[in-house]
Amino acid sequence: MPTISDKAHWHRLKSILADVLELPTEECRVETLRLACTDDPSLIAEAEALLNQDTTALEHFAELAATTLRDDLPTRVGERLGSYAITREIGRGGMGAVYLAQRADGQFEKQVAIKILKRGTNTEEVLRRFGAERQILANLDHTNITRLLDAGVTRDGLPYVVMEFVDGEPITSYAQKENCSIRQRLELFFKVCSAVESAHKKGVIHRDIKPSNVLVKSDGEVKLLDFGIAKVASGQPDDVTVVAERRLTPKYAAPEQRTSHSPTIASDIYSLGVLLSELLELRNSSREDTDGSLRGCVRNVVTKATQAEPGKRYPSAAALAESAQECLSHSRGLIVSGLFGRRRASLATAAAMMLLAVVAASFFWPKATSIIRGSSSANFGAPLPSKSSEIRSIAILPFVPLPHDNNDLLGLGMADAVIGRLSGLKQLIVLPTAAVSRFRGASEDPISAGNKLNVDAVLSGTVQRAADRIRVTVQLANVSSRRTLWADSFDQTSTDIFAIQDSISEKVARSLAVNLTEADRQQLEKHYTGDTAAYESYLLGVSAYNLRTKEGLQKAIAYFEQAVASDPHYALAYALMSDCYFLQGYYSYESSEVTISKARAAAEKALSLDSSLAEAHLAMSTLERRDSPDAPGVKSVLRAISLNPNYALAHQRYAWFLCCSGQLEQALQEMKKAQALDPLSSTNNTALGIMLLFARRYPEGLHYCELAAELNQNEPYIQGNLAYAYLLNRQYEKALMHSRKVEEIDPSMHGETVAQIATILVHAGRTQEADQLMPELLALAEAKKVDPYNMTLLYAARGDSEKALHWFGQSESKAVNSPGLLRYDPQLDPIRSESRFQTLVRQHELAMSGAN
Amino acid sequence: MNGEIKQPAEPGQSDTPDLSPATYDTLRRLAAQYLRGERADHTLQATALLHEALLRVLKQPDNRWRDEAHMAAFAARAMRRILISYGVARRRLKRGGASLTRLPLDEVLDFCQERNLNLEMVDQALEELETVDARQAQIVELRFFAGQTIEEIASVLQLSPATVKRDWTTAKLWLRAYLSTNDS
Repeated sequence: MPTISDKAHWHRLKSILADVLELPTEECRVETLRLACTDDPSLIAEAEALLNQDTTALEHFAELAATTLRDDLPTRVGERLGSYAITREIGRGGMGAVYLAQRADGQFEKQVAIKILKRGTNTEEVLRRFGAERQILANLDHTNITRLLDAGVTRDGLPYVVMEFVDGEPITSYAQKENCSIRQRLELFFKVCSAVESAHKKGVIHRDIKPSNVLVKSDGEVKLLDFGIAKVASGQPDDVTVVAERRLTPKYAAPEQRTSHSPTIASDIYSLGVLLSELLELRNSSREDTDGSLRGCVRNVVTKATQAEPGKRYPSAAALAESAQECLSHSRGLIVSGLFGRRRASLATAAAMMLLAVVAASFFWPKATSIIRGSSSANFGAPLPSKSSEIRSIAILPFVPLPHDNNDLLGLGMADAVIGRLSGLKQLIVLPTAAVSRFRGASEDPISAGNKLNVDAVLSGTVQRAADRIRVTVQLANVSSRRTLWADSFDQTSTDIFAIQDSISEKVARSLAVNLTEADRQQLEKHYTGDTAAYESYLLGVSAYNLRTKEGLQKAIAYFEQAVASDPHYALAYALMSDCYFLQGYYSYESSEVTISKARAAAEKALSLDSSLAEAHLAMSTLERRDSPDAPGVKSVLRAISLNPNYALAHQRYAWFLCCSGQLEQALQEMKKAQALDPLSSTNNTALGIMLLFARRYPEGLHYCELAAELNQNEPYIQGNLAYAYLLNRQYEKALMHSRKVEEIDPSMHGETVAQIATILVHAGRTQEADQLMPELLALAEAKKVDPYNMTLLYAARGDSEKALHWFGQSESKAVNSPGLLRYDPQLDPIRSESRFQTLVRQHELAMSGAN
Repeated sequence: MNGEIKQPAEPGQSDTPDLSPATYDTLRRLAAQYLRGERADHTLQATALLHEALLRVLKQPDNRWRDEAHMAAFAARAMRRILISYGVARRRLKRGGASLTRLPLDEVLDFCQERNLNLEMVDQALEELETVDARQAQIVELRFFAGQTIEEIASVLQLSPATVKRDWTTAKLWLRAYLSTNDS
């Protein structure tokens, strides 16, 4: 059979194909084909196969060639446009040519870039669009966006724009040339996202994000070119046509941009995703790139950003950046030595990467801040005019880093420092860092955050770093009136960061008309460390500590160790380290015999360094006896609370003590204080919920248990407690559902789950189903895979006091270590009156008091 | 790579022996434009590469330049060579990790990469098509490498636009079939 490479055969075929292709409908085509092929089945089949091919790529290739390979713009070097003289041509693309120009009127010695757009069939529309967009584009004021300076029309009627000239290199080649690590490339990328996000917020879509539009200057500064120019240049109405969009670089254009859809925020997200993927895949010899988990994590981010369906991509550039940022935060712990070791000095472009990297790890105190500090001490205590006496509680939100980059930690760190200074003020309820840290990332507006946190005022701000300068803007707003009470900005060298924190704290205190005592003033100026390297490690430690996971606590300890290595007098780091060790034992991550002694050593060290440190006393309290109101552990908790009345965790621990010692009402009061201080903490909510259940206030208890589960869906204990709350509220189906979740989250809790489900079934009157579980459950219990306490509850529900008490007598119950349960757990009611039960409770309590 | 520039096979063009200075200038300008996307502060292998390819075209004896049709064909052929050698060089340089300044050509190469078009295979396909139907090969070359429209090609080749269109649409089918069977 002849092939298409056979001349005669092809000529026959070609004429048939051409005829067929000119026909308007499918039916005509089939008919014509049959006739033309004279019913030769193999010829028909061959023609059909040829016709069924997809040739769009070839068509697009030709169209792309028409826009990129031919170019009929005359050069304009030497020409004058407005007050600019064109000196050199610097590039050409599908849209037109870009020239370097100089201000010719002698006003400034300033170089600018001028882009002259090509003449097209729609130049009129381009000009009209220019007028409409010019002001919007000129308003895109962002460090990482090249500014539009001017726009106009050449003498021969071509539109042009005058832009800030950027002498930089495309981001991908920069990253390659500088041998940037993935981490550094991500930092560059975050700046791009920040720029795109800021433009999106102003309603401007870039439409043509690609490496040649993202330049990096030699100082590492990132600049996005041509924002919104694609829209202007297309000269098309908003529903841009295929042809216009084909001017775009195919690789970076979102699928919907290549068809007839108009570009949206989602199409920019797509382009950002492609850019991120390019950055990720660059070859690199850096050591850090062995971090495969980071790479894998970022790859997932790319996948989501480049989903074919726009709705499945990230909703915003900020969300995209945040996701990538999380990859970075998660992997950070794994490369501790990389972050803090020798690499610091070798990171050529890492100015933006490192928290306070420019600040040498030496001790320092502000030099340039004497003005702030001087003036402040002069009128310290005198309320600012905008006083607001009704404000009793305040949340200090993490400051938003500008541009969005790794200084994310700096933003949280600034907030944490201000919180630390203000929280000692007895007149003011200051939410702890743990309560506000979820508002990292600027996605939430401060007032709505304030509403969620249920506070009277919010302090929000931005942190911006450029070279060795740091600029902080803050504003304090009244949540109910939505009024800004005051706003201020501080511009200092980076070394003065602690001075800025002082100034902000002091201004907040004054503007809230807090009457300050001498002790308050000392508290306001309290510095836990003066060493930025130590501070940096501490911040990383705190974020790991807040995870409370096995890995998180391990990392946290490592960070706190680094912190005290940098600053051996860092009492706060020792105190938190102690708590980490304690929690390792408490959650059974490690053997508590080992961790308790380490916890004690760290707590003692913290106290010896700073006996007025609330955290140190609290850390100590967990290691001491708490069996009576005079016990040292209780005294330490109370001391912590008196030193820092806003210390939610101290209130929570005191509440547990009260509950366990039979003072349920006082415990509830105390727990409510803790919850009000940190309303978004899942442990606070769950603890309050349980105590309310103990008080037989079932619906209220359920409410807080539900809240806790909303805040933290992946904690088995919280799910188990929620199941327990539903059980007591007689909502058995929901109780079963949440009980099953326990096991889903943590399969090792299978035994506990079966016991709880059986108990719920008994309560629900479904004893048969419960019976079916018994053989498995008994086997699990024999294998010590069920806490005897849960067996007790099951038999109590069945009304089998004998067996309930049998299991209750088993000593290895963890739950029984909490006397609060024994005193108040409503599920024990059926056996509570039994004298044997009372005896056993007393034995347990006795054993407990001797334990520590 | 085939360094020789083939004489366009289509007969029936004017026999003007000399290339007019205007035509020659146009070609030089065209050549300059291919290079203009580059930045002055970079010395790149790409520069050398492009220069070499263009010089090879421009070095041809003047009598090869007959008229507008020849010139367009010539420019297209030059561009085809440039694109292919640039594609090869770019792959090599990327492997070596060196950085390249982006040229307008990169847009075309990126497109090919993205849409799975192997440019070298396209080149080979065109050589084959030239033996089967030289006019079709020429039309494709003008469209792909000189960026000409159907109408422009019709005017240059003195054909009706309808004829050019028939040739173009069927040539695409031929190419696609060739690429599918020959490209691994």
